[in-house]
Amino acid sequence: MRVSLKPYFIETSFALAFIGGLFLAVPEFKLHSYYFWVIVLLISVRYGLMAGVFSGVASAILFSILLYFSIDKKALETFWDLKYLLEPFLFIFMGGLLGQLSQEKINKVSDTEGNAKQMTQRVSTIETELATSEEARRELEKRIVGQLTTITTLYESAKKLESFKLSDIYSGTLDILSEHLGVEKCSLYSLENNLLTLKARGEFGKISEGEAQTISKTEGLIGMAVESHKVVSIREALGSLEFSKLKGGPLMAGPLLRKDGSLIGVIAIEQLPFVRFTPYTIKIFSIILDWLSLSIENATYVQAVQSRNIQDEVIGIYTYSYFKQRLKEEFLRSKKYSLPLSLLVLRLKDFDQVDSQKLIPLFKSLHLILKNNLRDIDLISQYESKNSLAVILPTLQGSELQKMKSKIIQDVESYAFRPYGASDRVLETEILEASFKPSMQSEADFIQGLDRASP
Amino acid sequence: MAKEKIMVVDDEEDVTFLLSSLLEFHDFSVKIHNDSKGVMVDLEGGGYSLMVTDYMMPGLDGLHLCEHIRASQKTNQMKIVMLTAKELTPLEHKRLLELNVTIVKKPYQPNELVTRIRELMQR
Repeated sequence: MRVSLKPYFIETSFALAFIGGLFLAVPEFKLHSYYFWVIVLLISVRYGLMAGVFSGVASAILFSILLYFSIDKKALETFWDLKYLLEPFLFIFMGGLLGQLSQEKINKVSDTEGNAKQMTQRVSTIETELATSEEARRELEKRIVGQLTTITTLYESAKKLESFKLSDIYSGTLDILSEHLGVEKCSLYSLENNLLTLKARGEFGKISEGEAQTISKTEGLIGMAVESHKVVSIREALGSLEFSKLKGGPLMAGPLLRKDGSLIGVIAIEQLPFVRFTPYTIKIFSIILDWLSLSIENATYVQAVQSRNIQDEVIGIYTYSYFKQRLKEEFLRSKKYSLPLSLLVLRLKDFDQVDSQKLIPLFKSLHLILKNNLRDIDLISQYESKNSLAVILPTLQGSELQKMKSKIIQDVESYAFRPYGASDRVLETEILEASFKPSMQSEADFIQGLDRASP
Repeated sequence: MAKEKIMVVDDEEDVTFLLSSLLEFHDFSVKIHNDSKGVMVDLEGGGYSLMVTDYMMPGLDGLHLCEHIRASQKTNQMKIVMLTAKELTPLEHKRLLELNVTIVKKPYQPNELVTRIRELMQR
């Protein structure tokens, strides 16, 4: 172990060695106690108690040795006299005394230096805090300015959530998460048959429809979010779940809940910039979830109402959902009792070129033309595609159907509607037909038959 | 170019709609009346080139409506098309011809009706 020598030790030793050297080397050198006083005084004043005592003891020893060799041998008997012992004792006493007095000053200086150092450190800390505050202030100002533009973009995004189409709502939500929280990757799941089914995925600003993928609603971070009915981040989850169960999973997940608290789905945030992983983000994420839940609930309600509504009030025909329901019923009846059943679909050609203002009168007129040719039991409705009208014809097939079809074609042509914008081009239509066959298993087979019959 | 104004009078709403739609798709401007009430006031307001009316209607029937039109100085020159499913008596037929009414028997071909109307407009 390397021992570092104290400065007072080195200085005292050097000074005493110098005096000792002079004594040995220079015969004319006369021993005087004040050489030693100088050393004791300087060292004790400068370095304090320990140094004073040390320099006093060392000086006393050297002075006594040199004195022993310098005095007359006859006088050796008197060496132990008080006059020879007094000065070495005074070296030690004065070294200790002055050292103690000096030590108090040194301690005070040391304390003051310590305080000064602490003050410097505090000033340094305050400076750092000030710099941080300044940076935060600048960031806040940036945010306040940013908030103004954010409100505009938020409004634009919010409009997407006003839609009654779920896919629009899903993509609108992922847009909001990306634009306002900086989310880089997230997934939106909907609860179906007690499993969470992926509905949409957003990755680095790209939104895509979810591929068929289901996950459990009880496992991992998502399970915690579903159970607690609130947003759960990986930070909280680490307290109650093992890391292995969270590894590779989302960083944050939040449930989509109906007003009655039942689960609609879950949004899982899988990638988020580290600096955004803050309580503020969690709060905003919770608000977005509430907002989205309400939009989904409204859209689902509207869809349910629309599906219950069986008639298009404007045109006077039945809705497509009612068509599907009735077709299923009529198909089952035909299957059960081996009754004829036919389906006609009147399709408008070049539908995209039809003047939108003429659409309603055109469809209403076509409906009336069809109605004039049909029986009371026949059902005219909307079809899957907007350019078509469908007619379910129970108990009708074969030549009777063909006769009716020809009459419809003829009547439609005789009106010579001109719906294609400003041009005089007459409306062109085609009629697709399908007839029931006992080999058909479901109404889907029946509709497929219609598609195969199309030109 | 301003569209020619036509009035369609029939008590059956589906028929008036289909007829008005037919005429509108052929660039006429159409006003519908589902009974004969207010027809005269509207016609005298002016601007109509032609009236298409059904014969059989509750209240004032097609024949009497035509008589009112011919009796009014403001409308006596108006062209009239009478649609009828009824087999007219010789007297009724004669009276309608006297009133200068074009008779179209139901059922009629819509495009032929449009052609007849265009011919009448050009006279």
